[in-house]
Amino acid sequence: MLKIKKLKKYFGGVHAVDDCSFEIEEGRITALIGPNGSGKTTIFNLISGIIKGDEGKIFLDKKNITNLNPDKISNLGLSRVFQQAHLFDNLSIEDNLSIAINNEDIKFIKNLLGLNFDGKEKNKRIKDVLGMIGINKSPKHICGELSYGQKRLVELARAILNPHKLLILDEPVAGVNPKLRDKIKAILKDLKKQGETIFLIEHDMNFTFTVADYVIVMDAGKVIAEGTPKQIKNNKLVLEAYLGE
Amino acid sequence: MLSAYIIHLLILIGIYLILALSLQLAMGYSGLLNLGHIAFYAIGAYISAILAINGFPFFGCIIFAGIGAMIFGFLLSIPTNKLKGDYLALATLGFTFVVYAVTLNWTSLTRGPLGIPGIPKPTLLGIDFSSNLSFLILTAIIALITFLVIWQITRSPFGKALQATRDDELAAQVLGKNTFKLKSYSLAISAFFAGVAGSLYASYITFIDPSSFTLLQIIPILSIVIIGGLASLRGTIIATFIIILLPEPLRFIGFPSSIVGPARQIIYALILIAILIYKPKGFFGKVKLE
Repeated sequence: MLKIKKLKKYFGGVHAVDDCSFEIEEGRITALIGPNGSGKTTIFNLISGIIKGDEGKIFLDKKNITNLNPDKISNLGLSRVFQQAHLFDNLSIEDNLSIAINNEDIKFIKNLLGLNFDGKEKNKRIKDVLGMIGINKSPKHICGELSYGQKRLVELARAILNPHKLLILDEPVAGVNPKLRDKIKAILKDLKKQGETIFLIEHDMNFTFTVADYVIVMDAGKVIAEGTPKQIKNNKLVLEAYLGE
Repeated sequence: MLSAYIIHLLILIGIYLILALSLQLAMGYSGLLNLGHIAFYAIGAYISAILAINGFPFFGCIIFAGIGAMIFGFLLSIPTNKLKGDYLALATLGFTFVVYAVTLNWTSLTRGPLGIPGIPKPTLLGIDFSSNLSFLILTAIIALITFLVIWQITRSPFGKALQATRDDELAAQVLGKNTFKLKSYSLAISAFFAGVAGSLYASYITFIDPSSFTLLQIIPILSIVIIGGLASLRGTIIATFIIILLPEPLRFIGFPSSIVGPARQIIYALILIAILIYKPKGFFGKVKLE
């Protein structure tokens, strides 16, 4: 589904991503772990086109997406959740979700003539996803007034609704309470059952090892190990680099 | 029968309503702090005036005024697309100075400081709008059309995408929105209506010169948008009436006109400061001014 080939990104003298190569297989949950500053979020920013790489290639479903703009990459099938919630704070929950579904909003004349309002099918999808994340707020509620945990849930719902082939989540349970963490874990497992391919960054090892099928470990911009959670747990190199043991 | 004075005020309210609603689209709904709105107003007024004195029918003048301003709006959006907040305000402010300098110095086209006199009053579909009452009706119709178009834009998915771009451009991009296009369209549409307002102004006053389009002219329009509240069309309409009518009593106190003019600006500035301190969202605003 996603192939990273000899990817490099330098910030001055800092080798944030240094000759990284790995693949994400379809239909499974892959976790990217590593100590702070190991280059995980930089990899996500390169994949989603927020920053441009210095060298290397990125393929999404066999299409070369290297250095394309974020909107183009999104339209080729990538959906992302950020480390800090990036909601449209002055819009309602419903509007935040509707924006993700509607891909004809740039067609000005169609919109001016009122031919692009969300139909019953789209409204049903919004309702279904709201049901899945189980948010106990009215869809008309303004997002800026939601709590941190609720914002993360709405952002996850929005990423799910954004048409995609690959869902990438940057620390989906960072800063959330244990109850919500379990809820997000259940949502991700449910999505996997539906055939979703998910790539996530996470620091919570319990969460990572119970939810992921495959784990990639980075340190100082390089991939130092990859394998099943069981293999990674017993990898000496990982323990040294990541846990300092 | 409405007195000539009240008709004059209502025509001004209509023109300012078109200007403020269109600025609201760019500023309140798209987050573009555009101080170049007066430049589009000037472009519309000059295109309309030049065409009208060369015998063009009013319909052609007003449409070309809008399209001309729209093209400049689109062109301005290209170099300024990545600018935000104060930086965009400065760049658009610069555009106002450029347009002002052009109207002042391109004398073969604009007659410079002498201005363009004798702009004919409009005739549309065989109807003569030369009386002030009929011109008021024309202004009211165009203001209503402006409101309906902008209202439809803001409630459509296109408008929601504009608001999403205003709130978080990166998140909008990651959801597949081409924010470059969205912002350019918004500025171009906003400029179109400013150009239309300029055409109405030129036809109404029948004389334009560069002094009608200085930077100071942006203050009442900006005050309307901020006092009414960002992203509120209802607030914009109410604030237009308040801002245009509020300084009018000064005329009846007996102050000389040399005092009334500056006093107007002082009143606007005081209201603006008070609003920014005590009600940063304006009276009906949904978005806080950043």
